[in-house]
Amino acid sequence: MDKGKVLGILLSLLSILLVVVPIVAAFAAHGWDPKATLLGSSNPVETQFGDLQNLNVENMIGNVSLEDLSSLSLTDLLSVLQGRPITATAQVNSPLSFPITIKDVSGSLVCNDDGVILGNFRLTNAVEIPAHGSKVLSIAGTIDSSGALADIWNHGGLPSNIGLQNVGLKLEIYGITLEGTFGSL
Amino acid sequence: MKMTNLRKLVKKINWFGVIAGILMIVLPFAGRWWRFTVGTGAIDLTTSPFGITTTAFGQTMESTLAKYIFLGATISIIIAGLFVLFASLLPEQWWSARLMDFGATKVFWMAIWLVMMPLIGAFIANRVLPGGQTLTIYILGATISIIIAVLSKYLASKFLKKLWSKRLMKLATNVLLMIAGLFIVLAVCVFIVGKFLPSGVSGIVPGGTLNINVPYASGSASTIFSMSMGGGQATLTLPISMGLMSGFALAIVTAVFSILAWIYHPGPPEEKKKK
Repeated sequence: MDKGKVLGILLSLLSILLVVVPIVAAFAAHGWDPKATLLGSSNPVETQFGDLQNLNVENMIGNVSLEDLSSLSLTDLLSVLQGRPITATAQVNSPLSFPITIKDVSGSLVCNDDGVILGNFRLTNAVEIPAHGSKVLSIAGTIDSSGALADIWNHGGLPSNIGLQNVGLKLEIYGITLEGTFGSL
Repeated sequence: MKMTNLRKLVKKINWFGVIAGILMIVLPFAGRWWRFTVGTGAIDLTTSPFGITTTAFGQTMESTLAKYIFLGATISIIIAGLFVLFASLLPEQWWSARLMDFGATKVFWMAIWLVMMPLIGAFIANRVLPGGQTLTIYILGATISIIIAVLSKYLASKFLKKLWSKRLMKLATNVLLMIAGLFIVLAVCVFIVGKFLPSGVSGIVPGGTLNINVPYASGSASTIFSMSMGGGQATLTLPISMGLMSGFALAIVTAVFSILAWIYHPGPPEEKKKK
């Protein structure tokens, strides 16, 4: 056979070998286990998010403090009724092994008996909670004075059976945004 | 006398090939070619035909299979670079044309595939997965590409006499066959989506809509998944960005020099005999 053709065949074989040998070697190195060969031993999704199924939201929230309304002067009380925000703070402890940013929390307080909106609340600033860290969330609420007064009138006293409505939550994890709204809670 | 011989030797050297050969040996170590990012660190991927680095949610991912395949590609391109270099320095040797044929088009095809894969992937994500596509256009595309490829191959064998024109036509024919192959891949994807997801990917989750928006090889876009359940609604936004990297620029330069070297290179001795 012509030596040129022999060389051509050898070069074609070399091309094939350079593709086939690495594949065979990779599978052989992992005892022919396709999953271990393809993905290796690490599974970042399982490592990072595996503990999400054991997540307990109640355990995540620490000291909650609300501005003491009983100690407000009459002037302050009037300004609250006219729309001055009341601030509530809560410490959030993250058991998660990745950082999470709470970009927004908002909603309305509603009297479940008559559906009257008593006030609204919103997160004052976005908060980035580091992995296994804790941060204080600050939520500002305003009283809807006309709604609150109407509800007091309806009940003949202070509102009871208060629920949440139009609750919005916006989270960011590694630049991925998760946004949710819930009609009522 | 010696000076004249040296001059003759230097004159015969395929300089395009010398440059291409050196660039091919350097190329695997000149950095990645393409990057793909989801969010800010949710997924970070940089790749070239010689390696891949993937981090997902702050963790580095490693695949033995990918590592070995990329190692094979690195060895392959270094061998090809050496062959192109030897073939260019000694173009009149009987083995020279064979070695040039082996190595010269490798980087060209690697660069073509690296651009085509994200383009096709983005096309499948943006146009095929939402559903509603018909098979006809893809089958027609594949058929036309094959007909043109076969016709040009026949015409080239009949009318093209010069070696460089034959080589160029061979390259063009192979590109057409690759395009035909891509049309066939798209046709298969359209068929699978039509068969198993008649209302597209959005139909997978009841009450959900998936607005897929993936950039074509380079750029930024956001894919949005929305779902309504009861009185609530949830939206997941995935910012995706892609881009070609500096290593790709060197790959293009290398591919251009390799193709020039291949076209310029003298043919094998049997072709000279035919002449």
